[in-house]
Amino acid sequence: MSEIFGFSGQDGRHWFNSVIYDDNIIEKIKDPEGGGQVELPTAIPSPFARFDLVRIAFEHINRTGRLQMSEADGEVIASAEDERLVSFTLDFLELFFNYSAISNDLKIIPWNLVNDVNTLITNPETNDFGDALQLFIQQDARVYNFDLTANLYIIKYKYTVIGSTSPLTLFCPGENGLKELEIRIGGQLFFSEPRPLYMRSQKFQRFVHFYFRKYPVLTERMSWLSVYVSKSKACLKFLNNDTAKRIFQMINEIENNPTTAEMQYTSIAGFKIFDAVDKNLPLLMLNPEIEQKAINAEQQARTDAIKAMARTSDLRILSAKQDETNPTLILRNDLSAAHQYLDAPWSNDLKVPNAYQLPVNDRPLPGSGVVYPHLVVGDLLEPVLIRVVYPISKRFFNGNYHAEAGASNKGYLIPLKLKFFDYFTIDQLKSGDPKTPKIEILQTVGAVNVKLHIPLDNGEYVPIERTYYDVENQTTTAQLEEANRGVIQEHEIGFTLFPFLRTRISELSALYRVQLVDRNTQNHYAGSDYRLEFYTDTANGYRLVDNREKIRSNKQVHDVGTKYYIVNDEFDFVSLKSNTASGLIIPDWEPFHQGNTSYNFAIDFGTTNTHIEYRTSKNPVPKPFNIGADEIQIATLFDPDATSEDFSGSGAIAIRESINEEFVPFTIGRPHSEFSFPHRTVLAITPNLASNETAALADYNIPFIYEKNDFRFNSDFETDLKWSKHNTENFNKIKAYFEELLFLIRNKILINKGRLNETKITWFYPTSMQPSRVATLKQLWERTVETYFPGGIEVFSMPESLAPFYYYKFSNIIPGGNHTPAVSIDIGGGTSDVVIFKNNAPLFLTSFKFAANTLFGDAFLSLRKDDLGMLGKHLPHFKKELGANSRYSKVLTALEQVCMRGKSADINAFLFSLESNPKIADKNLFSYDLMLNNDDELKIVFLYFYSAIIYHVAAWTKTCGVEMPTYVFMSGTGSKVLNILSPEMSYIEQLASKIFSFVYGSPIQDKIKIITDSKIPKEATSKGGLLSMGQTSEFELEDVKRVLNYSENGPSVDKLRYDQVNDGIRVAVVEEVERFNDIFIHLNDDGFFFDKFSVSTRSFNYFKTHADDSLADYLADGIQFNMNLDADEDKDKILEESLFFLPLIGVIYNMTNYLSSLK
Amino acid sequence: MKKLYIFAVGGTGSRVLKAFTMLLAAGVKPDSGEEYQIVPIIIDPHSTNLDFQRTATLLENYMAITKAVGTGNGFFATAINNLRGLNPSTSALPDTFTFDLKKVSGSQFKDYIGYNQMNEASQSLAQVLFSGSTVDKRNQPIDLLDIEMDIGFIGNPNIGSVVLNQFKDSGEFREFASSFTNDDRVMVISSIFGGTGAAGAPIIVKNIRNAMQADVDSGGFLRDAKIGALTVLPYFNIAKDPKSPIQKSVFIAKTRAALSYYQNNLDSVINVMYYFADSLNGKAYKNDPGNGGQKNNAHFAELASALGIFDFLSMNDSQMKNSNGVVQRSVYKEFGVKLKADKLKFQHLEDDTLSKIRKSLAQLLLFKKYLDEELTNAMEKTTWAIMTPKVEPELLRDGFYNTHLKEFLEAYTIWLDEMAENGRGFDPFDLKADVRTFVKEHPAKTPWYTFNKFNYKHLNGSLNEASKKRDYTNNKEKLVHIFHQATQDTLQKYFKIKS
Repeated sequence: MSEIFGFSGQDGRHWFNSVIYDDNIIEKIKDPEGGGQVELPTAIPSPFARFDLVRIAFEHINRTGRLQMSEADGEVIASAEDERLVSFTLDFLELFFNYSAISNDLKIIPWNLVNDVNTLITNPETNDFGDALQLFIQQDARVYNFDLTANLYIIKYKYTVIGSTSPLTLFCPGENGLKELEIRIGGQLFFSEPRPLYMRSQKFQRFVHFYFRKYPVLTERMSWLSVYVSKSKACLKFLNNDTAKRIFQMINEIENNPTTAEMQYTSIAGFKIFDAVDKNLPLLMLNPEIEQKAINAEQQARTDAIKAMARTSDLRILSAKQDETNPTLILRNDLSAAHQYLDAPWSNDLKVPNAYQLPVNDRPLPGSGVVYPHLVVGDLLEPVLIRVVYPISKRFFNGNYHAEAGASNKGYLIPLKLKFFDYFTIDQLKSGDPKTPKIEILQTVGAVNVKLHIPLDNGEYVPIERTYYDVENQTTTAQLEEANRGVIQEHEIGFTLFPFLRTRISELSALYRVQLVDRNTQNHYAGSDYRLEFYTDTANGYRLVDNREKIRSNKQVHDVGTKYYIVNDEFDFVSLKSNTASGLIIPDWEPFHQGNTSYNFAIDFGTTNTHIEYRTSKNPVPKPFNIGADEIQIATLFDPDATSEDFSGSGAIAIRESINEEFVPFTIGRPHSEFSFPHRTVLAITPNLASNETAALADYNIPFIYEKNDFRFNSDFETDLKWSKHNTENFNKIKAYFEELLFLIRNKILINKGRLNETKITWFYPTSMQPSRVATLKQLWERTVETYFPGGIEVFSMPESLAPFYYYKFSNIIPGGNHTPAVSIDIGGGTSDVVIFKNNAPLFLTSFKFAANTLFGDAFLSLRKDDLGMLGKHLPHFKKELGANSRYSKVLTALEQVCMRGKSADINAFLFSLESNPKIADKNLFSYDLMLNNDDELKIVFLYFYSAIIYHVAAWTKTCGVEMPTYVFMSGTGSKVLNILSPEMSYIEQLASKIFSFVYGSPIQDKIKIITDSKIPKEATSKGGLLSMGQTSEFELEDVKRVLNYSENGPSVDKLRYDQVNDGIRVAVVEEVERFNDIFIHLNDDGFFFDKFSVSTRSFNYFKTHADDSLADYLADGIQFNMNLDADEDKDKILEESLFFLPLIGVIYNMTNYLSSLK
Repeated sequence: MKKLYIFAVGGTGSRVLKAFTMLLAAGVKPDSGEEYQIVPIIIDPHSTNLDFQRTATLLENYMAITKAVGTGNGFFATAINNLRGLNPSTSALPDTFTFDLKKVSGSQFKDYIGYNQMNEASQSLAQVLFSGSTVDKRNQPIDLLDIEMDIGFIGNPNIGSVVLNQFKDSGEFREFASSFTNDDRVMVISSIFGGTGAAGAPIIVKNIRNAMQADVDSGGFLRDAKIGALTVLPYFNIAKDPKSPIQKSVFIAKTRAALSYYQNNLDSVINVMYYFADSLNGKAYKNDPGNGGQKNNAHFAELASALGIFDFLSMNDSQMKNSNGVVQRSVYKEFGVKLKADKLKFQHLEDDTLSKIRKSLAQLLLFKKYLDEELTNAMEKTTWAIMTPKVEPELLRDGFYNTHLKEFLEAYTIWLDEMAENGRGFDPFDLKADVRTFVKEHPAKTPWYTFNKFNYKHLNGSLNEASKKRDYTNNKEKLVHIFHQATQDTLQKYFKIKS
């Protein structure tokens, strides 16, 4: 995985072009120690750093909801220091607002930016300071607003400097003991407890809002202040008391009519923060003579009468959600039918605004001026209609779309504003029933007409209409809304919901992932950003549903942007928002009810491949996990059946491709899907994963297209999940892998109306795994199950070694009785597991990390070697043949991607998978099995590998005191080696018989029968687990586990600790390997290897000369490697596997490299 | 020849400059093939800072070596000069790489700015701008205006920005300005989280862009100079010391504040900005605010940053256009490696990185190993040593060899060793291993038909070859040149390191 030494989130190599660290990026720089930074340093390199400090305090406070110090998840959003600086700055403003009351104690000293600097510069003693100030005044003029500033004013209170004016924040408080000065006006103590603006006096708040309204330069040049002021207005709502409401109303008045309010203030003797043409910003103070006028009582009576008429108007909306005291009216211009309005029917001479800035309850009724709640078109319909480049899927509500003209190969989001749901429900909207609202989207030439029928209390309807045009002259949305015109914007976005399922049963808990794809890279919206909001209907409105957003691919870098939303609650509709438009996506959920089928699953999480089998109470025959065409889990917003290959000519195919790459495919399982289990154990990961709080299908996904297709987008891959190092990062990856599997399983059960709480799950572990690692896996499984199967289900674990035997037993593959012992050998990617059974019960088992990866991996090296060994020899063939046919170009790219990122094991796994890739036509040409089978030089390696396992098993069974077995069951990915050895099983059986006879010292006879299911070696484990579920009694692993160890006294199955491995034992192991090598050489005394397995003479001679080289070194390497694997384990732990194989790994690695290099 | 002026500000500046010097010694050059003369200017108020002294010594040795053998020998192939050296006959500057800050020791900030000489308005302004308190050397609280100057920068870049501004009135700045031509470039290297670097870098850049206002030559050239800036974000840990004015948790806050300042105030001023940030929470450095002789072990961040300087030199003029002191389009750069690792080796680096450094670093190390382990055996015996000009025992007693070259190469291995030991480490060499396995991922291999494992005799073969190819005026030049040739051959042939 690459690593970028920076924070931009961009990807590249060496020194590459990136982007400026702007606020968004700076925001991402977290203190690795968890923050807690409270004291703000004056960190910027400018003499004016203090001005900046105060500005930043405003920016921090603005990020909080209540404009007070605040902390979230241990991160300080705004500190106490920020709060204090902001409050002190406001104190200064309030001090000057009340200037006349305190002017005797204040001394204002102007400091001229030109003259005073020059005075400093001309004096050699102060020249350095003057120069520095001048440099920064000139160079930073733009950002510090020095270009508008003539003077700074330093403020003294009774001889103490307390602060100055600031071109950034109006005022800059000093640190000279302001609190101790006890400055008071009318009892109010200044520079003491922090107070946000909205908690200050009514007069002062009104003044501040007026000041900001009157001088737009404040918004333009001090945006942090104007944001603060408007947020302060919003905060009044939280206070929820009459005073606050009154202030809110007053601010509205000021905003609507600033000129009337102006009279009340006068400016203070020539003090100007900004002093430039057109940008004058004088300081103002309160003019106390002006008083509020009393409300005219007569006017009040008239208002009450009109309100009473409005309450019974025909134009009352029929809504169960609204407050009944003042039912809301619906008003529109050009109303065709006659409806009683107030004291007369609505007249089209009356004009109602098409859009209001005022809240619904604060609007003056047309013709009367009395404030009464009413809705207009601008409340309900969006100014922008979002068109997508595909028809909307049947799984979503399409707004009763109908194309009267033009092609119907595109779709529209529902252009409703959220306000609609203050009155109506989603169900009403979709139902089409009488007395419910109804929407119609009608496509005509060059325009789309949207009509919304609003039901009235009297049973009639008022149609609310807006026409949206492809081309539109009005520029701002405000202008559009005023004119009741709409504009169409075509956005190339994709939306996929997983799973398409709503149970309405809270015990099942709701779990969703939603993918948002942004393919707007070439068009007008290349600079747009998109986000989703999730909503649910409530009894009197709607509620925002919590979610977490995760960014995966970045549009600027990867040509497509993807975001993922984790939503753990049911929702009714989704709002898609861009910088310029928003629209609704409304899933057409299907009703859900639970049936009574129960499901069992067995999950074989393997080193190379992972497999899942399942069966149900209705159909007990195990089947590989699948997602059939009738149980598709995802719902794409595009209609998969009606969307053209190129997305209506837009070429936005990334919308489809990113589903398979980063999300969940439509179907899984042959023959319908190109994806199936067993599948490569691989996880795709968001690059530059920042946090540890990660989740499947957001930060990670299982890339089912791995080894099938190339990847267009941006992911890192992790294939070494099962044996990865012990640390949080890796546990998160394993957990994510489990999460997605269990998520798929859960959805399958629910979509098929199964009983979630009756599910049973079995998972497997190799017995060679350290107990602490098994415990970790167990914990990861159980925690994940808790989430996806709330309420708990039965989870079983089973040693991988046992399962295959049960598969053969329960599927009656074992011939005849079973009185002599049978051995089951499961050769996986990372481990081989061996069990001796007698009378259908396991006697002993053992396990070792000598398996497929020994042949196809990189031994103990972390270096990749695709130019060496087996790959060096055979990879060029595949690259050449794939390159020769343009149909395979994607497969070739996929191969090259694996070569670039992967280890040898990954590349080999890829080559083995080619034969069964549905895209490949000539299976023989791409059969790695066949190619290796025909490779006479390398054959001896596979023979040696197989013989070593058989030899060890024989020595082990003998040492355990068990008689020679008759049946050997071979399963697991690695048992494919048998295919490579020879198509003739009897030769392989002969070889095994010879080895067993050597070890047991009995006369050679063809006694051993090997049983394997070469087509499904991997599946045997999970099928066996499933078939035996609940039928095998739990047993104590430690009681049956036997590891074959060696010492001066010969082999034994006594337990051995790492710290007991002394030189004597090392020598004994090496001698045992030498003994085996000798036997192996003698097996060929009669030319057995040459005749039956086509081993080349050259390779055999090489083996004879070099087989015993460096065995002791290999052993030492292997011991070190195993000890490193579990860093937190102690040295006194028990050896979980035999040392026999460690030297062999080195022998095989070197032999492979040498033999592959032979021409 | 074109010149690159490198302003190395503060401890990080010195350390990156050191890494850059090592790469130059190893023979690394910009991709563009353009030759530059390097003019380093080290700016650091802590004259006792060991990082800074180590770098200064290194540069002096480098210059002594190139003075003796020239720059045409593969190793030490780029000329380095100090400001005085650009114009030795007329310059009044001392023969050093450093810019000495005046008036900083023993006085308070208040005195430095001439507080008592100011009118009421300016005094009051100073009281607002520098209000608040900090801690002095004895960790006692003290008003900012009263702080002692030599430590003043540490936590207070706003003070640093005033003090470091004296640079613009210095002889160094005038010399810089008068030697600067339209073809030259400027690189400013600093950390963003400390005091000196964060304050000094913007000052230098601003003064260059503001040169028209200053009383210097070439003001116009300077105003539109092609300026690169390398900003190193926190990459090491500081040991916790509650009493020190330097606190780790403040690092991040400072970095963020400074970056935010850079974003608004330096965009359109700097042509190419290099950001480097290593978020790995590595080994803790001793907490030393500067008065105890700050010396930190070398780190991969400095090597990567030094590569940024080469990157800057490789860029086209057309990518750095300015008009009237305003950059038309600023470029921002970041650095990436191919694979994540706490201990980086060659395999973890991108090919572009490898092609710049792998062979060259190994060559210089092999050179050093040979001199240490084999040279005395080879003299008076091997062809290359016997051929004239002879490399004979006398050379070992020459100052060129026993001081400059030896010290330089010694510093090189210490540098490699420190990078290897550091966390995050860069650990591609085994400094203790024999000559066969000193490059960790590339053990030397001889062909199967030979019976000998790789040893110095193989290298002697290449040296013999190389010594025949050119006539040398003296044995020093020969020594450097043939070793460059022979180590290159050897690494290709036996270690399979082609680039």
